[in-house]
Amino acid sequence: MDTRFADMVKDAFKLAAKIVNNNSDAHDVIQDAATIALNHEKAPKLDADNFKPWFYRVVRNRSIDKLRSIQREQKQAASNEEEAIDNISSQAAHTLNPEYQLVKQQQHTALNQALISISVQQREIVLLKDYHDFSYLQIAEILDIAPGSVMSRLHRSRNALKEALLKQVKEDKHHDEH
Amino acid sequence: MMNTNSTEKACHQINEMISGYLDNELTQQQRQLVSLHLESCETCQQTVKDLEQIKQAIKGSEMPEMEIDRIDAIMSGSASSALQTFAWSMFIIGLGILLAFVVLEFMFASSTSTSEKIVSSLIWGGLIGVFLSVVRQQWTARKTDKYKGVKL
Repeated sequence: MDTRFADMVKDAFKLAAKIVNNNSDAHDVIQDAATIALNHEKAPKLDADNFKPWFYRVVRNRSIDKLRSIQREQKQAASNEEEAIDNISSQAAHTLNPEYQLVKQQQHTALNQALISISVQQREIVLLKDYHDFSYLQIAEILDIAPGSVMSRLHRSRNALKEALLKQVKEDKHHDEH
Repeated sequence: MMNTNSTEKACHQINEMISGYLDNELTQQQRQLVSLHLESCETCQQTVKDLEQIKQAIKGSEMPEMEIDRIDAIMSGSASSALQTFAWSMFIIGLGILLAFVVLEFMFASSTSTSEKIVSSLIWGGLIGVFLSVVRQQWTARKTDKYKGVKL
């Protein structure tokens, strides 16, 4: 079918994966969201301009629902996270240029860790702007908030991420020293 | 002293507009205000740099990729579901027209008596009603069941 829809689905998956912090749950979220998008009476047409924000809104809401159900089994989620970190470090160990890769990987994990450490509300708005590149108006639509409050919420979230990142870097240094 | 206070106040005023500035979401007036303030305020300049750096890092960061099998499943599912909706609506429209035609024919046929008409309308109306209610029940069951497909 439409490759544009396929691309949209792939991109939206990244948001879902970052919100629920687990790939297999994100796959379920996207499956549900796509089913809704293609069958819902109120869904905009696939080629309409407002389809993308509308679809992201569905994905975001489904992700939040999923997250709530996951949080009931938080222990399970915590062990998955550790597993993911273990995987990343073992991947880094097998690459050709270990030193360079390690530095890159550390930066990558520091950002990821910082993203995970801030609240979901903060994480989603930063990702919607900085990764998915939606306009403030579209973000307001996706998150169902007043357009006038996007800038302040985004700014606060970015500052929270900055603080988390600084903390992360400090902790990493601390680990290295020991 | 006065000077630091007024700068702080200006920083506070600018504050969240720094994000708007980075994202190109300010009015021309706001943009000028921020630019003017940035010229004289190193703290806010640093904030712009830091946030820009984070923004770029996120933009270039590796994100989890969707499995190809799952995309294929969605795409093929969507194609067949569109076809299914089309086929079902054709079928239902056809059935509706046929039904209306039969009912009209029966009601205006002069050979049958009024009491006969009433009795058979009741029977057929009841049957159709039962059929529709069963269909509706099945439909809602199917819908809710789809969302219960959560693996434990």
